[in-house]
Amino acid sequence: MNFSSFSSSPTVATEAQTVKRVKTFALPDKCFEKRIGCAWRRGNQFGIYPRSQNVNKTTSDTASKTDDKILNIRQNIILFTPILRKLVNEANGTFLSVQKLVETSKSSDNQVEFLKLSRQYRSIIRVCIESLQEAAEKETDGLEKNTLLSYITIFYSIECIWHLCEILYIDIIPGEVVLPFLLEWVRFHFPCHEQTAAQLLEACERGSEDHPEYWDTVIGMVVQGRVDVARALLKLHSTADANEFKLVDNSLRSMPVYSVYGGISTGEFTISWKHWQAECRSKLSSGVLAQTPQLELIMRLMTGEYSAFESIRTKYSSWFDMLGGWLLFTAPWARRRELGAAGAACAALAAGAPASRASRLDVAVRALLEGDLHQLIHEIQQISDNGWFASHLTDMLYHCGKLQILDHQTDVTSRLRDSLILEYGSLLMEHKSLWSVGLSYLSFCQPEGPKRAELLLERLPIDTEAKAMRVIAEAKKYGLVDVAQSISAVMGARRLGAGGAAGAGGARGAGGARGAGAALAWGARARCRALCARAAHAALRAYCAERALPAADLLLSAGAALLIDDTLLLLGKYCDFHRLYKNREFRKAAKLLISLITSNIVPEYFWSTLLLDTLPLLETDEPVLSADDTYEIMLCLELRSTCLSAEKADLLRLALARNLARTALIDVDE
Amino acid sequence: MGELATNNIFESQTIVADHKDLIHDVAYDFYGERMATCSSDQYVKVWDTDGQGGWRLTASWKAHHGSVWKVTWAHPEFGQVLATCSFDRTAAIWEEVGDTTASGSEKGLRTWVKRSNLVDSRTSVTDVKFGPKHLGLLLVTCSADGIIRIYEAPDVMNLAQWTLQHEIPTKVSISCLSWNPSLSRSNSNPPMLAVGSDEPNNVNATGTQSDKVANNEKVFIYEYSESSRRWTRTECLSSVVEPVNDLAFAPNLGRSFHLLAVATKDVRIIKIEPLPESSSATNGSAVRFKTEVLAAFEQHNSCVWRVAWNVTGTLLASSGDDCCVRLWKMQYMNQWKGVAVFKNDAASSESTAPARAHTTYTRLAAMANPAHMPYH
Repeated sequence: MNFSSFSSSPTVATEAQTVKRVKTFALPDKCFEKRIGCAWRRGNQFGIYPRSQNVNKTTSDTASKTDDKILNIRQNIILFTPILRKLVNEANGTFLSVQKLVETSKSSDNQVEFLKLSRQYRSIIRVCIESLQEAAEKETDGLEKNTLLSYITIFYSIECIWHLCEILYIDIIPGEVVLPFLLEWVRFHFPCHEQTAAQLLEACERGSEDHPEYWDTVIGMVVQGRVDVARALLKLHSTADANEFKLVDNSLRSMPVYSVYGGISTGEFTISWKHWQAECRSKLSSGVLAQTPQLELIMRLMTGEYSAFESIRTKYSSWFDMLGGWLLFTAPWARRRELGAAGAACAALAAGAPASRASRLDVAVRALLEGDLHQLIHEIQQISDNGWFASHLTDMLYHCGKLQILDHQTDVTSRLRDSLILEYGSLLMEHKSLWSVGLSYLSFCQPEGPKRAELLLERLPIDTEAKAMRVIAEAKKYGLVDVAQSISAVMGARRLGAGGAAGAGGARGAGGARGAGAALAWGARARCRALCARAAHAALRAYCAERALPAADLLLSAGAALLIDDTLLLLGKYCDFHRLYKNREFRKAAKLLISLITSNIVPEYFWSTLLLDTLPLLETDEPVLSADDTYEIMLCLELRSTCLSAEKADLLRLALARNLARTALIDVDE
Repeated sequence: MGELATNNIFESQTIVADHKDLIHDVAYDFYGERMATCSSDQYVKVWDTDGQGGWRLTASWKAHHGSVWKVTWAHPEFGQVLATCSFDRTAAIWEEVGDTTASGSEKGLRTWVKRSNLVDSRTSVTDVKFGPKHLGLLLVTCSADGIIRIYEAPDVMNLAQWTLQHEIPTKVSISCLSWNPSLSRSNSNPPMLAVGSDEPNNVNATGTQSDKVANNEKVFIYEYSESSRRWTRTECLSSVVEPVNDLAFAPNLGRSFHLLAVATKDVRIIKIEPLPESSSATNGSAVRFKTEVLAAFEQHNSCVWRVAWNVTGTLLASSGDDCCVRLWKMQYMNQWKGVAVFKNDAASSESTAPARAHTTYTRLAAMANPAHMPYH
């Protein structure tokens, strides 16, 4: 489950914050006015029931009919919606690639590879957003549509944050000068005015200022750092040849742009850039532009004037739009780790805007710009994607070596990463088909992951044999042998039970041969002695009742597996006896039967069958049972005469006597 | 950008249990696919999921001649087996019989047969629990007169035969017990039980604190010694001195210590760490464990009735007299924090449509203003 999994910093978290974080949910109906109880089901589901603890009363007259409602509560997991399945599966693939990359090359620098994988994650999100958009367009049900739209919002924000995170932590930036990347981020995620600009440029008419959004567009382009576009737009103004326009155009054109490969050092660039801005400032103070307030505003923006940015803030839905421009006109040389101040300045712009409660996206972006990854992860955990984002991003940053979280001077980074992955993996384990994906996450969190997997895997509801085999295969893949055995044992027990366990006096497993056969197969898989014994007994009893041996082929090829249990061994050998008899290898069959009779592993109820099986062997044309064998059978018969009816016993005695007569003088060749 | 943090959406589903009296216990089976309920109306009911998220009543029978306090499932390896305990001084073992794969009209009908009646107790049997499966088919009961009984079915094929292996007198009324689910059978982790007493504290005893403290302890740990073949009390948790209503060991997850949740006047999470043999030897036989109260949550503001762990022991649910169910979670730094509260919504009462047996899940609204929750 993805609850708020840690506090921003333990020392700051006040009582009030704690209260706020604990969400309260209202239960429907008025069913719980007295005491209540709770019981966990599995995963994120539990039950609530009204409950009385009073041990001293047997019945209560006060109990009203409203008291017997049971509530099942479960968390709504959006990742389980079918449309997001692809996201879960594909992200799993990338996650596994990340783990593999870490494993294969521990020492070398994998920045490029990591960047590729990070982009892969982002493209997965984008594909997901696209399919959501498609679905939302088709959806006619208002409520459903709303849900889809809210998913789009969620994943859109995720992509936005991930992209910024990639720029600031994963991407390889020459000279660490982040501005071009940041501008790209802004343009990509906040493409305001772009369409208008394109329209205007396409029309290419002089006097475009009649367009109602002309100036907003020009300013927008300036703020986004698209100087060329802004200049082109300015040229479309009817008085573009005026002095003021030329002045601004000139300033825009001459703005120094930093490039690592430009051959000048940051220091030199800084000097020339400052010189340029000073020029702009002097032009501004000369008052040339006072007649055209829009141009003056552009110039003010170019000089990095805070009030100018403030004045246009209301035109944008968020402060992110301004971030690129602000940086461009105040500190274009800023490195990745030096963005905190810019973030703070732009966020402060937001504070002035109406209805500006800092949203989670705001806080997350601020945290990113300030380099506070701890805060970032805390924020993104609140996003209701059930931990998808937090776990994958944290894992990525962790493996890139960019995550360093300290708690009282101890490095807890790996613990944080593990806890997120564990949560996410456990969550997926609850799903009826995503469980194997969950398993792969858990396996990358030693040592707790496999332990959790053991508990969760064993509890996967298994409705078919095929599913059981799949779960067992997965369990073996991750070395969870105990789980594999346990599932086999349960399946065996189930087959035994299904065979019709109704029997008086509690004797169980006297069911049909088919159930026993299946149970035997499961028992052998589980290497479970008790189950094998139960199944073997069931099979023998079934044979006594129905004269059909279950799973003969299995038993004949079982080999050493038979040694697990005496009864199973008996069953196996008895099967072999049948095979030999059918193949008319009477001599061998007789030997085997005698060894079974003398082995002392035969259960009481099976004696009659075994003894009667000697009858045809005693009556063969050629004697196959020696005199000694006959004595052995006689002994058994007399010791256990109660097993057989008097008539059958007499028949057997007669046959024994006749065989003894034939073999007394000329014994069977050993 | 809109609001992203519509996190922690919970849904609820109402099932009308239709017991004629108060429900005392609800237990889910190993997979969470079946649910057993028991009540003061002396009936036990079994519910199965219908595959579409709903629950269907598949069996209902009069199980005892008194209130049925607890119901519990055996591991599925032993078949479909339930144990119940009752005010009528007995505990009973039930097994489902009949072809569970039958189709048609027969499908809905399941029969549970009483395989054994355990009649050793002279007082109300307050709790019953099957032991961890690696120990075989074990059952422990406790009764109001303070006797813990451990039964074993030597032949798992014959549930009619249970032998009383151990009788452990505790001299205080026992209300609840829990097996330590730890999987290892090594010397450091022998079979372990925790029992809790709901005996009210003797008012007179509080006068002379120093020598009476021992009498006020409510949680005891018992361990089985392979060599002496006896269960012995190896620890009394001195930190719990109020009547205990429920306790539960968390799944171990390979930790070197055990976690015990205790429902008393507050929700407690207690860490029980076995000390290495050497250190306990130097102190004589006295100290087996180091115990530490990791958390004591008083948010219920009242008596806490139940504590329940999720499968992996990462979330603890507790319920109390304040009619709230609260969820607690361990953070990655091992602190425990409250993460959600479920509360009767007084405002929207009685307005909902009459509940049907198979209602689908409905989304739970978050309370309008959580800050209005009483918090102290």
